[in-house]
Amino acid sequence: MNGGNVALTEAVYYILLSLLEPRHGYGIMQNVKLLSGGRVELAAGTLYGAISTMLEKGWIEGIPGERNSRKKEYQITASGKAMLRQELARLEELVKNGKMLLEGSE
Amino acid sequence: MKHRMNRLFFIWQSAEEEKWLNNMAAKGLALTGVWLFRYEFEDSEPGEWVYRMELLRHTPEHPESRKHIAFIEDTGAEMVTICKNWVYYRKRRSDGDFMLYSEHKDLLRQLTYVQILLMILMVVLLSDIFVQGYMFYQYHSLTNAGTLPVIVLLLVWLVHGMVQVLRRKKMLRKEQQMYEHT
Repeated sequence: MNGGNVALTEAVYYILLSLLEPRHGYGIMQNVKLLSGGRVELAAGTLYGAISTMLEKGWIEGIPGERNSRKKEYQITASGKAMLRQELARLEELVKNGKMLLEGSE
Repeated sequence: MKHRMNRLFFIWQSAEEEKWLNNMAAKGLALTGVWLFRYEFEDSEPGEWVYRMELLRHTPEHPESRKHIAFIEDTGAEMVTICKNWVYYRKRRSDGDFMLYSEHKDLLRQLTYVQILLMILMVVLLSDIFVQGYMFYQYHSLTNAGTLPVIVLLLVWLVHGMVQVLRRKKMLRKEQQMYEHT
């Protein structure tokens, strides 16, 4: 999948948004919860799987940690930012069509 | 104080096992060790811990498994024990909700691992039945005839387990078509 016409899952979308700043796993979980007003709670195993996949795709990268720090931090790459922009455009289209048709029917 | 209990769960009954462990934790018995059907608990505050378990894709010694467990621990969970490829984690209830998987695809993957294990066991049992049948056909010998009913019963039980796993997967797939989160 090259990102030509894909829909990101909510989890991936929020993880990418969270990694606009470097964060470790627990930091991502906390930030996603905060961003979504507590609605989206990422489970640790799900987050691990998503991070591994995004690393493989090159959407995020690991930051070499400090010597005494066990927790690895990650940050978004240029290709991850491009995916975010593409997803944002898709979401805007969804909202625009939703509003237009729903409000037009009332 | 340590408490030991014997309880048998089959590999397709992890949800029941997890529920039982959390019921025990609610009564003030916190899991500290597992060996097949033997469980070891210690006294704790009732409801202090929430337990979750998962089936690793690789052996616990595999670098990928170590990396995975370390990541889960970095998010505030504690790895309690490992039995075969099953890992038992816990987290204090006061630290908030504790789930290992929040998406259908991850739960489906866990069930696929169980399915693969069941298939391997079924192949082993079927091979044994085949060998016994071949020995009888070729040499009219039934050296292990006494074990045959047990093997057939075990096979039927594994088929039952497989049906449970397939039903659960079907339900999750239906939900997955409609919702992202579990």
